[in-house]
Formats: sequence, structure tokens, C-alpha cells
Amino acid sequence: MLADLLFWICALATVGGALASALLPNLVHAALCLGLALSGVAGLYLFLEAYYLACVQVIVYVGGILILILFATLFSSDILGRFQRSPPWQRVGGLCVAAIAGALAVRLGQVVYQHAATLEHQRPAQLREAIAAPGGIGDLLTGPWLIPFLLASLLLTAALLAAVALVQRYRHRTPKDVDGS
Amino acid sequence: MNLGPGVDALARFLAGPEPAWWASALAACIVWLGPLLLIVLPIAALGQIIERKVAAAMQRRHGPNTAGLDGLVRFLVRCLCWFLPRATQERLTARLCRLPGMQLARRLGLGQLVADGIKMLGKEDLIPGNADGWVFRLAPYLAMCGALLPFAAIPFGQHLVALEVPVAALYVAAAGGLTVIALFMAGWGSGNKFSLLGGMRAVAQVVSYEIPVGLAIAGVVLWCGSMDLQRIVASQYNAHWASFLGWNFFQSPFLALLAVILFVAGLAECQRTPFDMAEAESELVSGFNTEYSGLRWGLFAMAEYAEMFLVGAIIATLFLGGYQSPFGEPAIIALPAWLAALIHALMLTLKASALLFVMVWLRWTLPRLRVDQVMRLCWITLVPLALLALFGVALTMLAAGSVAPGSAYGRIPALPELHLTPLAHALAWVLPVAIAALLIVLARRQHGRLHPDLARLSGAGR
Repeated sequence: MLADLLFWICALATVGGALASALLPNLVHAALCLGLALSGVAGLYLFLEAYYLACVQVIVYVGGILILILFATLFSSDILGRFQRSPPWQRVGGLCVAAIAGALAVRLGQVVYQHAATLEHQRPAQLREAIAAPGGIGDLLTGPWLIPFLLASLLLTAALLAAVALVQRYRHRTPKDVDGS
Repeated sequence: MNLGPGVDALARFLAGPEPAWWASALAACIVWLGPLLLIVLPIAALGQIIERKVAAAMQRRHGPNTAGLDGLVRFLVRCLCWFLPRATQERLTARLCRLPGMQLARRLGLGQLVADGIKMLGKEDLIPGNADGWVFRLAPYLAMCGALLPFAAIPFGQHLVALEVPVAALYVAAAGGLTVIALFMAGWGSGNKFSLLGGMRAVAQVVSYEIPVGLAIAGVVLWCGSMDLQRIVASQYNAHWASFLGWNFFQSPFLALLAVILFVAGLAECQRTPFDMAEAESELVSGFNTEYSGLRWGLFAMAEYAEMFLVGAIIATLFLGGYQSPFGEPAIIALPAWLAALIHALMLTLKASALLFVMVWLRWTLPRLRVDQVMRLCWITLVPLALLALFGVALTMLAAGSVAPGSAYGRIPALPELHLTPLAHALAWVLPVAIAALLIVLARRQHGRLHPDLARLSGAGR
């Protein structure tokens, strides 16, 4: 089946991209592979017929967060990963976290795969439309989940303000400036 | 998984009622990629012709006007009619080249496109020794993907759309976002500090200008109550013979303002002059595509024209009635379906080409902006203006009674179609314009008394 093939491509992109982004020494390569993994997740959302979520995943994570990460990697003094290796405790800890996350991911993949296989027959068309369109999500965000939604935006505002504060030049600190020049 | 009615039908046509996976894959490739290549590549060519001819006209020269298609015709005649005597071939060629269309082709310099294509294919594909192998090689293809994928969701006529998703407006923005990654990869992968600087400038610019673009799209989504581009176009239908009166652009000054914002921001996303800091040839050679040659460079160039056309098509779809004709749309809908589809596709192409013409016109009119001016225009002018216009759109809807305050708390029924009466329509234009004029007059009188920070922010003290 074509759907099977597409599912395996998406799953492979997600897992392979995640592995590569963890293992590649070159930071820019690792970040680009993270982009592959994030796009794979968007593809899996498409399998759940959650088009809205897939689009938001690409816009926010691939178009926004990944670019931030790429910009941040360029500040590193060792982009090519020639000089520094992770200490052993980080590797062991990372392996443990990866094992747990991997188990979860396999379970999730199973759910998505079964879902894609049975979707067309089991779900009423109305429910599928509700998932595909953003209206239902909008209702939830402006209804029962309004307070968490507002709190998240408050957090983002705080982060923005902190960013502005970080790049301020403290002109009044030098005595010359205090004198009023 | 549902691959769409077109794919399923074609797969059944290819391999019987229960198509195998390869038939589905083939059908998907044909249905999804075929229109893209058949429509978009000629579009890129069209963009190039408009660019060259307008540039030439603005500089009082002819532009490419010597290379017609005569050589191509001679070549084709030689290939197809090799069995005829040479003299007959020559006569046939001469007769074909005297056709009126050929004269037009010569004047438009159509042969130049073919020659350019062959030249591009034949050029050496250079990869700098310092380049980051696969990143450098992959970047142009990704740029092309970012320019082509959004076309799948743009309706060229009633149901004449490759990808029917309910969130098409969002999909267009998401698929276009791939270009950013491609620009970074090109800049970084070239292993050259000029390319890297150009790439960083391009990425910063595109990411910044995505915010006004998103706000402008959000305004239309709010007004039409749908993210489905087909429904957005359908909601701009007007049964009057002057059917352009139904277009979003003419509904409210706030929507008109959003259209202008979308055009400016879209221009910046394509990195066209006056926003071409990223490929500033006087300081960065050519920016992120300095090291590219041959077909890879050609892909970047084609992606640029496809993206310009895409911006035109998006603005036409969201604000200018999409595929609908400005006059006599009801009569066109009454025509046979294939004829209506043809006229509709032509209409959208015309509208997008007209906007593309404006972009080229601007290129030869405005000087290039500095980096700080580019960022100032985005963050201090466009984003606040877009927010204001979005607020105005919401206010207009509230005043027109299409949505009640507080209806968001709880399940919203489908929004009723928003149809303004002529009086409301006039008010929707007159009131905001009058308020804006009043504010401008007041602001001018207050100008000397602004708080110093505000004055600096608004650029008054310069």
C-alpha cells in the first residue's frame, strides 16, 4: 500500500533525523537533521488527518524554532565538533532518556499506524472534519482552556521582555553617562 | 489514508478497481507533481519575460528581441521531417517562421528562454572545495520545494486545485517556510563568508517578514470565517455585473491596508529589490548563491520567479477575488464547466502577472534598503499597522453584526456569510478613513510635543 510506504518514510525521517541530530558531531548538520525529524512528525500528523496541527508544526518548529537553533549553533566556537566530546555521564544519561523516549515513540507510532489503517472506516465524517479544521481547536482554546492559553502567552511576553532587557545597553552605569552627557 | 478523489480515480483507471500501491504512487505523482511542473515552470518563464521586457522598457532599450524560436523550428523540422529533401525542409521552416505568432515570439525574445535553459543545463556544476557537501547540494532543491509546494493549495478555478485541505491558507504559509531552511543551507554549505553573511541576512529578513504576512492572512481568515482558500474565493462572489465589488480588497479599508502590507512583506520574502540586501552585489558578490553554477543556480533563479508569482497569486486569492473575473462573473459561471475553468485559470494568471509586473516595476524604481531600514520597516511600521488593521477588521465585523462579543465562550455555530448593505459598505469605508485622517491631523499638530522615546520610535527626530 502507498499509505504504508508514506508512513514508513515519515517514521524513518522522524527516528533517523532524531538519531542523527543526537549523534552527529557537526552542530549545523545535527540541527538540520532535527528539522528532518520535526518534518517527519508533521507527516505523522497528516496521517492522523490533523492538517491544522501539521501546518502549525511546520510553521512553528521548522520555520521558527529550528531557525533559532541554527542561529544559536553559529555562536558556538566548535561548530564542526572537532575539539569537544560529551563527557561520559552525559552520554549514559542521554542513552537512558533516549531509551524511554524511544519506547514512547514506538508506542505512538503504533497508534498512528493503526489509526491510519482504520481511519476511513471507523470515524464519522463529521468528526474527521472537526479534527482537520481549526474551528474545534479554537473553541477549546477560547473556552475551557482559556486560562492556560493566556498563561502561555504571558510566558512568551515575559520571554520577549527578558530578551529586550538582555540586549539593552546600560548607558547610565558609567559615571560619564550619569553626569548627563 | 485518503489521497484525494483525483488520485484514487486515476489509480483505478491505471490498475483496475483495487489499485496496487505502485499505481497509487504513480497516480499521486501525476496528479500532484504534473500540474506543478506544467503550470509553474511556464510561470517562471513568464516571470522572466516580464522582468526582462519591463527592465528594458524602463531603460529605453529593446531587451531580448533577436532570439526568436526560428532556430528551434528549424531543429524540429530537421528532426521530424528528416525524410524530406533539404530544400523542402527549408521552405517548410521558412513558412512556419512567417506565422504571425513567430513574429511575436521574436519580439518577446522567447528563444532566449530556450537558449538560457540549454546553457544552464550544459554548464559545469562547480562545488567549492570548502563546501559542506550534502548541505550545499540539497539547498537548491529545497528552495524549489518551498516555491512549488504552496501552489498545490491555490485554487485556479472552481474545484481546480491539487490539494484540498481545510487549512489551505495555513498550508501555503507552512510550505513556503521551507525556503528559509534552504537559504540557510545555501549560505552555510557554500563554505564562504560572503555566502554565509548573505544567507544570514536572507534568513533574518524572511523570518521577520513572516509576521506581517501571517497577520495579513489572519485578517482575511477572520473576515471570511474560513482557512479554506476555495471558500475564501467563493465568499468574494458578487452577483452584480461589476463583480469586483465583492472582492475583499473593496470591502473595508482595513482589508485594503492588509493587502498592501501583504504585498510589501511578500516582496521582502522573495528578497526582491528594494529588499535584496541578502544578495547585495556591491558588498556580498551575490549573497547565498555566489558559489552556485549551472542547474543548481538555475533552480534558485526559477524558485525566485515562482515565488514572486506565488505572492501575486496569494494576494489575488485572498484580496482580489481569486480566479473570478472583475466583470460579469455570473455570466462566466453559467458557461460550460471546461470553458469557465479555462477563463478562471487565465484570470488568476493575469492578476498574479499584473502584481508581478508591479514587483518588477518597483525593482527598477526604488533604491535598495539598508539592513537596519529593512528591519525598521518590518517591526516599527508593518507589524503595528497590520495589528491595527486586524483590530479594525474585527471591529468592522462587530459593527456589521456578523459576530457577537463573547460568542467565543462556547460552541460557535458556523459564521453567517457577511454581506454588507450598500450603506454599511459606504460607512465601512468612510468611517475608518475619516478617523485615520483625523488622527493624522492631530498627530501632526502634536508632533513637536511627542515624548522623546516615542519621537525616536516614530523616526521624527531624525
